[in-house]
Amino acid sequence: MIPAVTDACETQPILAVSGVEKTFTMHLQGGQRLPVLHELAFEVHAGECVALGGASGAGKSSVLKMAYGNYAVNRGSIAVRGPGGVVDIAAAGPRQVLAARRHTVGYVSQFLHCVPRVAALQIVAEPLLERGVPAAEARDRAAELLTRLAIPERLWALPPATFSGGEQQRVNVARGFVTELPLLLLDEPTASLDVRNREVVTGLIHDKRARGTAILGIFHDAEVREAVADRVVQVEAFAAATGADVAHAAAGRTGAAGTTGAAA
Amino acid sequence: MNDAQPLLQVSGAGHAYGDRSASRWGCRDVDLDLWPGEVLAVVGESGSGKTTLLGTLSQRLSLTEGSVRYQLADGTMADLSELSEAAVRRLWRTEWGFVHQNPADGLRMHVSAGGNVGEPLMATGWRHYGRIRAAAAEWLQRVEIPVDRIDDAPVTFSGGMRQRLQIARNLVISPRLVFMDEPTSGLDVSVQARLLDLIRSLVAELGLAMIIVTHDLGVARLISHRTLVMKDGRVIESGLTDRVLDDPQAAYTQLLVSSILQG
Repeated sequence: MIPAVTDACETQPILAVSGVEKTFTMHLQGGQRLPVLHELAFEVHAGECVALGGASGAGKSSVLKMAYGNYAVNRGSIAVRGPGGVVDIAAAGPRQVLAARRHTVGYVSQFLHCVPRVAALQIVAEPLLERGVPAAEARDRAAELLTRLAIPERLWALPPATFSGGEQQRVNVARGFVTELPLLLLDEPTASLDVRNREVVTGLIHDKRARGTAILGIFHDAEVREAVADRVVQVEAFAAATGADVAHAAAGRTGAAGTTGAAA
Repeated sequence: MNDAQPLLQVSGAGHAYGDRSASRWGCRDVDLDLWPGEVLAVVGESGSGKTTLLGTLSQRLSLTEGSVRYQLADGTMADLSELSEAAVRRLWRTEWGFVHQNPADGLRMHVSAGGNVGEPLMATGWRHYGRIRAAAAEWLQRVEIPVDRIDDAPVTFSGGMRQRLQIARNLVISPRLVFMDEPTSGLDVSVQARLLDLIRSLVAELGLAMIIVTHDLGVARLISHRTLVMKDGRVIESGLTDRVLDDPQAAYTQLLVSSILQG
């Protein structure tokens, strides 16, 4: 599963964003257009951790969501380099995006989307099982991560729906870190964690980098950001003319706002 | 089976109700590919044409225009309208399943639970009573129906149990393609979650392809890879399920998403 990082591809970025534009069109508000990002461009290389900077509402989460294929992209390209070559997520069809998520791009969302009735250990092991790792090995690796993230063993067999916010987030981090994919997107992975667990997550990020994973993340906590990030891409530098805050707030609230353009 | 081509290939499909002079299109101009192992959700309000589309694809309603092609077990693509009735019946016995919203439409309500699950096996040539009963018992267990209810008729079951039995009756033959029409909508919310989780894990385990019609976007999010949004008989938006639900493009999809989240 671990991608071979050869000298030849170290010069090539794992993630190359260029000329990306994102505008939400809110049809329920009379088709109001809310431009968020304009000519966004940056790269992330293997073994590098890049933080997205900027005030709340600048569009940081939107960048991660576009890179994961979760938000549509109005213009530009988001090229990710995986074992099967380079895929432009901005232009890829659903099956290509699913394949990229399977082999290339991992994403740790801010909150755990609980699946009813599934035990914590199973939730963490699932991404490995889906990729064909034998059940016993998948469970061992999941258990190892849960231990490292200080989730008591008596909770492993329980569904996380009843866990505390911090425990749920740690299960979520474990699920996101259990696979070895070339690119990892992190949306506030330490937001509701105490100091000790923040340090554990910081350590996990360092380990990933050491193994050649390219990481793009939003780290609100300045200490964590300084500890893990090589550099910061200021999203505000690519702000579209107007309305970025409104657009982001609206998108965050309704889970969506929509954009103009293609898709459909 | 050939994974390099779709299991189902639909182009320009439509169904019109009524005769030629006074026809009304239930659905029209539908294009879609369904790949082996893929779950496709069809969402929309009642009257949007989603159930008509399901009926048309599953050959329960006639195809007025367009084509529906299906990858046969030997890997060749067949135009369903060109297959004989016997061939289509054979597909239903051996490769397809249909889970109705109302379990009473898909079960034999006065036949025992074991009989309901065993019957499709007998239709495919199973003859040994003991083995049929053992397979039925195993499937009851998989859908979380206590095995000691094997001789009870579904008429004595709760709504959730009936629906789980209908699923067992459909999946026992290891179908390649399953159609589901609002399988959870007649049930209590707590029962719905359990059933959805069961469907989700069985589909992943068996690797079957499924088209599920639902008005509930939460159902689409939990179990489908791709989603198709219908309105007035047409597909107005389609794509990766989380993309369609988190960043909807069409005005109608935005309305649908915002209504559900507020409701």
